[in-house]
Amino acid sequence: MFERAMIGLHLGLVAAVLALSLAALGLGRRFELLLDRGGAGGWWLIAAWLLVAALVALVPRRVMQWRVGLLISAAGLLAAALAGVWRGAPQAGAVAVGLTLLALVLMLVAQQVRAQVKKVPVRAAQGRAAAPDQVTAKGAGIGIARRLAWWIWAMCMVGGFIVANVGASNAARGIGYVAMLLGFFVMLPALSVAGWFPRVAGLCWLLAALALAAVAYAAADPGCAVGAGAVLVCAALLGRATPRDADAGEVGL
Amino acid sequence: MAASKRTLVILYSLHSWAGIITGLLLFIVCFSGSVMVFREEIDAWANPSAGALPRMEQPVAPDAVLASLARQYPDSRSDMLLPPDDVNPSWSVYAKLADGASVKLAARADTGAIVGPVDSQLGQFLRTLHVFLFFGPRWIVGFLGVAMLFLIVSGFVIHRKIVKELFTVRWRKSLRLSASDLHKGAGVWALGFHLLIAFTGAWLGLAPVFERGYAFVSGMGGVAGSAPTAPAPATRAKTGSGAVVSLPPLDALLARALVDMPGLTVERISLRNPGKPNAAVVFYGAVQDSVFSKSSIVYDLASGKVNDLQGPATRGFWGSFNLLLKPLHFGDYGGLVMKWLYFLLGMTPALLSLSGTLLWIERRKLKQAQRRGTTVLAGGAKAEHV
Repeated sequence: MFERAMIGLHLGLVAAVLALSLAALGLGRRFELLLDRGGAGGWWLIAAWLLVAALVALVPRRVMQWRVGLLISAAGLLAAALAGVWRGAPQAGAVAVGLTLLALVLMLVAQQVRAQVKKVPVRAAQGRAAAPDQVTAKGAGIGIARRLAWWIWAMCMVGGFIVANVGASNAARGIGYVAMLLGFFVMLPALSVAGWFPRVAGLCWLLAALALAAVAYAAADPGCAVGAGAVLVCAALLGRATPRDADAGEVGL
Repeated sequence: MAASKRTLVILYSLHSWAGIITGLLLFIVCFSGSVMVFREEIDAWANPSAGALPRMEQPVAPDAVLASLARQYPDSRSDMLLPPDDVNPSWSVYAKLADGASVKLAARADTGAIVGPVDSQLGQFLRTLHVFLFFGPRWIVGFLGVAMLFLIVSGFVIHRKIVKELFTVRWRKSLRLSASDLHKGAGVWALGFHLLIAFTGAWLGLAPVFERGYAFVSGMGGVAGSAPTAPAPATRAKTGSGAVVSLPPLDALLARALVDMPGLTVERISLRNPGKPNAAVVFYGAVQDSVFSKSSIVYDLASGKVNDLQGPATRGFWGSFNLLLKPLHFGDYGGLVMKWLYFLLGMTPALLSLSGTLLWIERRKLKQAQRRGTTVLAGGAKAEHV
């Protein structure tokens, strides 16, 4: 289902943008696109996108999904080309040529999409099925610590976003930006490699906690101080974990 | 120096997870960015009524347009004017009307008369999708640019047969193999372009965040809770008297700008804080013999002096660097051919997002089948679904 949804969402965006372009060309001033001008173009695009994505996702076979998605987009391109010429739009000729060429490319790709059934050997199937049963209490603890760290990270980013963009005074916005930068450039990379390099991850989170504590002290911000404390706890938990082996089979190398 | 197997495994794992989490968003941003290269053309195309307007070799001066605006829309206030160009035959006027509504109006290039609101702003609409994802602040796309940079670099490092991958696309095989070949081939062929787009996008999106963050950190030694922020450019022009400054004739100011910055082709006239003490006029555009970067000149209306001049001869390294990034990112420095090149190359990261997502799904299916100890068919679990 995930695969169907992803193919639908990817292919549906092109068709949705084209549908909205046709609506904009056909309806003109009666269809305001921009949200800051009171329009609802963004919402219409999202609705059209989800609709086309659902339609493509419902097509039974994967190859057919591709073909349907590509051909809907090609049809949209041709319709836009014709609509521009019909409405006498500026540069309609040049745009029509460009859109028709792109439509032909999509049709060619749709025609080329095919699949071939081929058996491949199964590697090292035995022994892996038992892996979940071998999870130790310590391993489970590490898993919980990492999960907690992800939650804390997400809360830091959301908190930073709220302070930086929603309702905070101009002077306080800097706190939000600093928190987001720390979260994205220090905590996130460290957390991503925490499985393999727990000490490095713990150290990075410790540095982030200290930086957040300094910000909390300078700005006398209790929310930031709570965040710094949570990050500090996670730093300790992450740093104590055992490094995980890099399993080449796990990623197919 | 070749990376060790452990490094490759870790990078592969990170590449996969970063790709699957950001893939769809990157697809949206890259696809809309590619289309947005033709923003002016799309805006013109989506305005059929503008096709009937005359195209003039010497369009009417901006004062005539502003006079028409004042006559036809009393109590309105314009904050930006776009002169006619190769794509758009009319003046474009961004104005706030008496009822508070913001509109984009078209004005005739021969008389300056306001024709009325434009039919559609489809190009600008696509820009808001690319830059803001409609609803968000700009830095979200900046963070995506950083993620894209990581994906490009990690993807390049984990590829071990780069030369071979340049020329391998197995169209006649399964979807998985085609997707894999396209993913690697497109990633290697357009590597330089991808790096350029990701870096400039990240910079453009995150520069304000870094500025604000730096302003806060540098002011941390002061009074608690009163962190200073970066001064807005307009506040530098504030007069001590606080008197209201009326807009002087723009024609004269434009003539002066062309003297102060020889070779300037004005693409945009911004009217900052009209009627306020810190009112200013900005002329922005390209300067002859300065292919890549744009230039701007700001006049403080209270003093009548040049407040800021960012031209090829005056700006330093960072000034040049900053002005270079936007054209490099949006590809509006080399005419229509360059735009097509940016469009086609810009579609490749979107293609990478799509093919990468599919590869991740296939790999996951394969792993699940291996765990179950069953035989798997390439491209899917069931033969008829392949």
